[in-house]
Amino acid sequence: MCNPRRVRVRATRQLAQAWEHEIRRTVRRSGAAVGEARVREPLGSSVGAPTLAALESVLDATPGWEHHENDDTYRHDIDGGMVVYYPATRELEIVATVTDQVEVSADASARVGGDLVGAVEAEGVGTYYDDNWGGITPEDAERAAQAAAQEALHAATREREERERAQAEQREGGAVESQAEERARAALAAATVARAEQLRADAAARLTAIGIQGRNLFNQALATAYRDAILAFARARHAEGINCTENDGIVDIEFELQV
Amino acid sequence: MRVRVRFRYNAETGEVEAFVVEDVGGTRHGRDHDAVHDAVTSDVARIIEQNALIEEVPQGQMPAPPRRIQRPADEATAERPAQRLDE
Repeated sequence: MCNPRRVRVRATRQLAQAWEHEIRRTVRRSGAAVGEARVREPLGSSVGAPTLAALESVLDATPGWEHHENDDTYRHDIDGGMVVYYPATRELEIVATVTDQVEVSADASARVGGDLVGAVEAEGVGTYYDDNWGGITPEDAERAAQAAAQEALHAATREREERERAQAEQREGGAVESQAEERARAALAAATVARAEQLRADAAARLTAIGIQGRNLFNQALATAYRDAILAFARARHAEGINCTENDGIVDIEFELQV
Repeated sequence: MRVRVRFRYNAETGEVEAFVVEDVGGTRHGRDHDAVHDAVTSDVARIIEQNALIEEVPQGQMPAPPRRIQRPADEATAERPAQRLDE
């Protein structure tokens, strides 16, 4: 094999072609839908004021009960709901909640296009050897260089078009994405409302069971409040023979007063 | 006058099962006696219930003291008003 010879061919193409592209965005959103059922009952008409006053101290000191200062309520979470005590109105509220995950997706698209204009240039190279090694002649090398130059022209044209598409994506993509986001937000809101409506019926069906748990928790605190209020009264009146027992949720108190 | 106060609350049912103010001083009945008994009963009752209904329980129908109360299932949820017991 002797010295290699290279044939270089430079090709130029004047571009005048249209391109079109669809920009598409899909946005997925998820959120929680909550169905809720509530029942509120007054305590003020039945429980004595000193016991209700003691109740707040008891709830402050009882694990599980949390005082929410923003709306002045005491809350205790229950699996599937909560029980709420309103000191201001002396009401007890049972809340049953059923939660489910909602997922939606929304699409938006836009068609963009333009014209590729101007010249693209490319170079192709062919090789032969001065002893015609491998049977490759200078004409073969010339043809190979021409073919390579044409291929390079195609590649350069494709690259120009890809660049135009990418610029269009960058330019218009944000607006398309915003539109998809807006549609997804609206779809999620609608789906959440619809699902919450279905879940509300489930929550209402569970309200009785949640109420049993909630009232039981509250009654335990109320038992302590009765005990504290009655014993405070007894001690203030110098009662004798004070006896207080608590077994299995039963509070028994006995004392004697000289009046 | 000497009175014994008995109170029982069932947290399971949320009900005051017994609230009894019983005269244990052996004093004689009379207008003053009843007035004092009513007053002390009201005084204690207001801790437990607003506007409690106070009933006089005739001798012999007095509920058993809490320590001795046997609670049949059908009586477990019976709510009792504040009671005034006189000897």
